Amino acid sequence: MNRVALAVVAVLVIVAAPFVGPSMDPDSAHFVLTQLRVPRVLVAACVGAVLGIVGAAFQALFENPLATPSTTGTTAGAALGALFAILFLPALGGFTVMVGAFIGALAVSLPVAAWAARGDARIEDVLLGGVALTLAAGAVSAGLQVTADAQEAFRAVRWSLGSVGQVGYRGVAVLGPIALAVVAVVLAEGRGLSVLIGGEERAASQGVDVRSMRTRILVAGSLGVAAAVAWCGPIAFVGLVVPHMVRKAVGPGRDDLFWLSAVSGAGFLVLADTVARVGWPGKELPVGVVTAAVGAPMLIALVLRPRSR
Amino acid sequence: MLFPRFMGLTATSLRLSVGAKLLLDGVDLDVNSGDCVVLVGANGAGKTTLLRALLGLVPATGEVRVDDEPLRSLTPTQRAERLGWLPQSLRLAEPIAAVELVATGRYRFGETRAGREKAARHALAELGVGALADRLVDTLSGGERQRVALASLVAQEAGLWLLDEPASHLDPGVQESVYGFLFDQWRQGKSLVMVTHDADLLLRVTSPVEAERVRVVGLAKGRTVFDTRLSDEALADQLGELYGVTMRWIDLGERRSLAVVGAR
Repeated sequence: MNRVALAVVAVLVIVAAPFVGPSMDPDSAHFVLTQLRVPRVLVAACVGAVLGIVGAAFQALFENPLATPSTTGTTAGAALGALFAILFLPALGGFTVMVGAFIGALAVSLPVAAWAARGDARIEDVLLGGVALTLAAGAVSAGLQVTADAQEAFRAVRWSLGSVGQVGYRGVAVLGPIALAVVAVVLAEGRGLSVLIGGEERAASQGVDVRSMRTRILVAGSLGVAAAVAWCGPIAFVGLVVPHMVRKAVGPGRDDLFWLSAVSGAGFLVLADTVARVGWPGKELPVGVVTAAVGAPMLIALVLRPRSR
Repeated sequence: MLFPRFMGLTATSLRLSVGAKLLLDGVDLDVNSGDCVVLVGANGAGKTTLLRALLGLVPATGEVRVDDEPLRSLTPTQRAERLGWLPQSLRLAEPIAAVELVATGRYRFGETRAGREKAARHALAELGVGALADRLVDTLSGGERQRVALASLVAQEAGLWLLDEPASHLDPGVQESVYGFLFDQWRQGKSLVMVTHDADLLLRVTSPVEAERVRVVGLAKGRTVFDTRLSDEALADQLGELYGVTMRWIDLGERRSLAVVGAR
């Protein structure tokens, strides 16, 4: 597929999504469209763009096709922070969950970023450090969940599956500028990330300031993902699958990978959320379940696909 | 072809240890503009580490000065303008077309995409592999891959090339053509530092007069043990001692050959 065609398809999905749904009487239709569906689609587009482009950037940065924000501890830290807020600060309402998730995400991923910025840090060690922190945060979360009562634990599980439904225009106002900033930072580093194809040392010998690029990508990516996770919960698989989808659609190479991952990530998450909204009449699936249902088989297919030689 | 200015490189008492292992034990090296310096030594002698230290890729103590400026004070782009590196092997994170890989060499120029692609195709053509531009690198043969890697180095237009065993895993025909290309570049004024084990290959691609200008620097246990010329009579003994074999000059009429004749 042509890269322009892929972008057009993604944009069409986003534009059409608010109009998909059961028919309603005209009075409530306008309210549902403008107050519920449009902000929901916009939030999904922002979060999808961030997860898609950060996934592509982290895969390039860590020289690992399986690297995602989950690998640097961002997602696990956010989950831990949110759980902490749900369990210990319930009186303060939903907003504390977001703040808790945001703080948790940064508390885990910024040390990883700071470590990565050290001159003698090797990127594979950074990756392993992120995995270790992810496992540690997961263990603490599991421990907290067992001690919680059933209702709190259910809230925590519900949050951990991800949702873009309850965020509204306030979420758009926060996530929109963050998404734009993250996309801008990654695109500005796009040329350097392309040069990383032959490894960090080769890139350094070709004039890339690897350390500062690494820091900028990790900080921007962690902030963006922290915001997305804080408002919508950890939505799985988008960052992992979207860059692979783009490569499959337009072929290998990094010149167009990053902007296409942003656009396709937005389209993918909007589509997944629309399926979550209308796919099971009378119920609403968590969007994270839909992305995982699409993403997991796709990932397995990618792994099993024979290499074209 | 006009090469960018390269006045010289001076490395002074480079020292690097990893844990208890001493990789570089106070190496000094001078490379002047137009030099061809061949680094020889047994496996583990520190040749590759020395190249990486000259590039600033490993935290060696001591000093490297390029064009009379400390390497440390140069920005990554300034380093890439002066020093180009051909690593021993090319490891790719994901499939990529040859032209896009070669275009990575243009990073320091900050060109548009069209500009760097044009330069990349030109460099591929110069290496005689212009027809492979749109093929994926991992579908190419070893010799084709090495030409693509060299094209990337050409595209970078650095003043001094640091080449780590530029043809060691290739068949004899490709080896000769790779070295032939490198020495053609040298004849046109490019400065070279290369790691190799095959002194006789160097004698095959240089004339006797040129061999007098090629410097051979022997490394053992992280130290420089000799710095001589490719034409030097003593080289047979020096190389033999380095590798633990007996080597001898053999007169082939039109040129001399340096051959291993047995164990030491």
